[in-house]
Amino acid sequence: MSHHNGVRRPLAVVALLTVAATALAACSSGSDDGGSNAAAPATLTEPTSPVTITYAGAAYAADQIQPVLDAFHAKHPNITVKYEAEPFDDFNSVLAARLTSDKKSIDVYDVDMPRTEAYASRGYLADLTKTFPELKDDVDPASLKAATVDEKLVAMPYQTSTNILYYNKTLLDKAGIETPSADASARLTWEQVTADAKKAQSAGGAQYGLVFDQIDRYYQLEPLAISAGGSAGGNGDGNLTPAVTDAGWTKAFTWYGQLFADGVSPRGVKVADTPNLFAAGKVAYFVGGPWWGAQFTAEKKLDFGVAAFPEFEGGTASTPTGGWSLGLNPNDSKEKANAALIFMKFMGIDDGGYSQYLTSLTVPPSNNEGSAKFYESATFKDPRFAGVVPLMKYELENTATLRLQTVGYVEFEDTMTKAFDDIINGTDASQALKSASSDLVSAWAKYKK
Amino acid sequence: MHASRTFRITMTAVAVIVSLLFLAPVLWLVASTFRTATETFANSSPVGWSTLWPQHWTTVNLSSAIDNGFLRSLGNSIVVAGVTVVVGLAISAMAAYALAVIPFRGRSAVFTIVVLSFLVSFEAIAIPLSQSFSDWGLSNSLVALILPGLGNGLVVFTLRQFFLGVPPSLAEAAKLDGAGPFRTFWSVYLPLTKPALIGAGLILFLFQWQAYLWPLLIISHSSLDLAPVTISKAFGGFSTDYGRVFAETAILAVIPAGVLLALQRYFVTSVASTGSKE
Amino acid sequence: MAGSTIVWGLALRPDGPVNGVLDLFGLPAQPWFTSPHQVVLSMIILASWIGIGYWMMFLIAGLNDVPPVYYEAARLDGAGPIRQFFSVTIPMLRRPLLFVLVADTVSNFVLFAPVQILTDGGPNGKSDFLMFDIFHQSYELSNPYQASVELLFLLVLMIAIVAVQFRLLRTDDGEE
Repeated sequence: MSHHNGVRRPLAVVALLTVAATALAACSSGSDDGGSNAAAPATLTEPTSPVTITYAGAAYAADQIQPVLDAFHAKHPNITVKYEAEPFDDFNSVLAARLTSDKKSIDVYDVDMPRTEAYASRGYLADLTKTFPELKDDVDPASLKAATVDEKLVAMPYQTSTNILYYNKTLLDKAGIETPSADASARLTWEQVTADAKKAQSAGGAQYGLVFDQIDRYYQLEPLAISAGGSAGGNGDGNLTPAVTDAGWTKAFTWYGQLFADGVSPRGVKVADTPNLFAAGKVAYFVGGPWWGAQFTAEKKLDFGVAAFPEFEGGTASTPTGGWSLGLNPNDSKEKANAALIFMKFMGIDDGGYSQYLTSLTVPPSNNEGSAKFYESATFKDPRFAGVVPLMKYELENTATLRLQTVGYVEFEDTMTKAFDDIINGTDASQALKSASSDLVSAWAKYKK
Repeated sequence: MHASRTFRITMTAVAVIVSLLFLAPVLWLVASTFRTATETFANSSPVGWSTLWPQHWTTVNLSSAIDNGFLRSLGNSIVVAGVTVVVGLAISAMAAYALAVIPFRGRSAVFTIVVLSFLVSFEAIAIPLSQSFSDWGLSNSLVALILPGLGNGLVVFTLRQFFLGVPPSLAEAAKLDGAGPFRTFWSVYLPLTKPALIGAGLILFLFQWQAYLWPLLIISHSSLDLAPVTISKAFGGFSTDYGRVFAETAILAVIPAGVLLALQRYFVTSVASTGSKE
Repeated sequence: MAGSTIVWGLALRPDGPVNGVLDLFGLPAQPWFTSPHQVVLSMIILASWIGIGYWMMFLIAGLNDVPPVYYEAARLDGAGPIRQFFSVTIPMLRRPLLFVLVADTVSNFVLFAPVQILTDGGPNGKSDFLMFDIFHQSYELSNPYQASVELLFLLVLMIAIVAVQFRLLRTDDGEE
């Protein structure tokens, strides 16, 4: 082989350049192709021949949503909806690959509410304003706001959310702590909860005092900053100026970091693990969505109760909200778009929307009529859930705080998750927030032209 | 003699401890398959027998996995990985044979390209490649899942290394007996490098067995989902069925382990069969 | 890979079984993935656990090809087990060793699934490895151009290292 040595080096260089060029071309062709937001029609017509549309979703598992799809097919026999469940964490990658590559592979898909603007600016969403002009009569105002970009309706909101404070009654009783009331007017302060949580650990045998379900997610942590007097995280033109270093943010996350430093909350636990800790009876206070109710009520030995999402002393009450909308692929053919819109109308409007067909319902629908039925759900009849229905109604009407509405939300959420993780792991809060702020300045630079 | 026996006992003890360390997470996974997720989390600390031994045996995790179509996606994984191993090994072994044994112009350049090919990680090209695949009308098919796994630079590389280790005298002897290049390949090189072929097959197998991103991008019918994708779908927006994740992960881990155990004898007998070399 | 990662992520949790074992021996609990000082070590443990059994297979396959007569000759010359290892095993294992060295290096350079699943590059960006950042930039943040530049750097780095490895284990006849 040694006689080949003379040519080996140049050949290697050529090969290297070829590979590098391929990689470069490969990576860059994944970019978006600009916004071509087609408008949906003003009138819908029932199809006379069979149409099949594809619905890509991340909110519900296939078996959960199937009864809804069956009910839809019974009402609209010519339209079949094929549901593709996608993993929640990879949903954005899937959309990026499917909506730009095979333009006809998805007709309608789930839109995580705070990402609406980002999707609209990438040209993923058709304009629905003409099709659903009277939507404000049917859905709650926060959901409608989340589905609107530049005064255009770009998505059909179908589900929203709220959070409550669960407590383990057994652990509290053991520590001699008075069980909190489910009344919104008796809202606890975080200071009080922290003190009681520590007491539950020392005197009640709780492994952890207080655990947040969405331990490092802006969704559940934003209300902490708001309650301490902070901003939503961004302001200025298009909400593209970071505002995560004000006094409210610093106060809220210094407190949050201290929970982990003191061992009141566990380090190294992922979002999906936290409810299991509460279900296993190891946690005194658990901040989470009502959707964990089904899992918790199934644990016969778990004696729990619910109270309002706390606030900071001298601060304002603020609770997480937001959920999912449906988006229409703007490149859809007329026939499919028509069928997809009939389906979206069924999900969000008709007779109170999709929620009535679900077997176990744990998240409030956006539709006003539908949410009335939601509160009748069997899960909430469990005695341990006493008082939860008026509480959720109150929070959605009065304290629900939407996440930051900005075209740069994807980068924002990503940066904040990292900052929260660092704070959880012991980085000083003001330092972590400061570095998040400068990361955001560079990440958002591309949107500020 | 005495020193050598102490040495041997020490080494055996180290080997046993190391293999126990390697086995413990697997045992924990298997134990977690047969208990509820709540029990798994309740017994994670402090460590005791209950960490590795379920208190209340249950098969709900397995039935939940089956109800969610795990068997079907496991079947898909087996078909895709199986075809990839057979076809991929055939292609790679022939390429490696050419690179190791047959002299031709530009051989080292071809080898350089083979090495470079596995320096570019598959994830870096997956999105644009998936767009090409759907342009070619290949999305949502087993072919689309199998194709990217067939050509594997690592496999060509390892087989070439082992083919180079086969004494040329054996090939010459075969040639004197009138064997052509293919015959030499088939009856001299392949039988002498069985352990390497198993290792190469494992590379091909695991590429498909763990494939996640590619099937996610190229497959949209859940009937064609591979097992790892089905597992990740247990992490929903509003609930995570951890028990199901444990059960499915355990099944996914046990199958290749079983195949390797069955093939283990080749690693042992190979010494005897190749002892006569040189 | 993902399976092992999830298992190890749970095992190395501050309240997880590994710290439980440390506790049995009276050792203090370690923060593992949650500490900026230990996250790289924890990743190394994880990647090694995934890698050791796998790459060992190729070395065992190579070991089987070492003719026993060499060991007998070495023993007759009075070589002990350690001397035999360095004078017979390592030289005879050179080709499989080169493969394992190169392949293991490359596969860990492009390793990102454990980072993505467990730490997301943190704490304090200490596990923000190059391949993870490439993946993150192109799949999560839609920054394909930045990802391409980083990929080029990674490629050049790997080519340099792999070239050195080829040189180190080159045989006398010029054949790798």
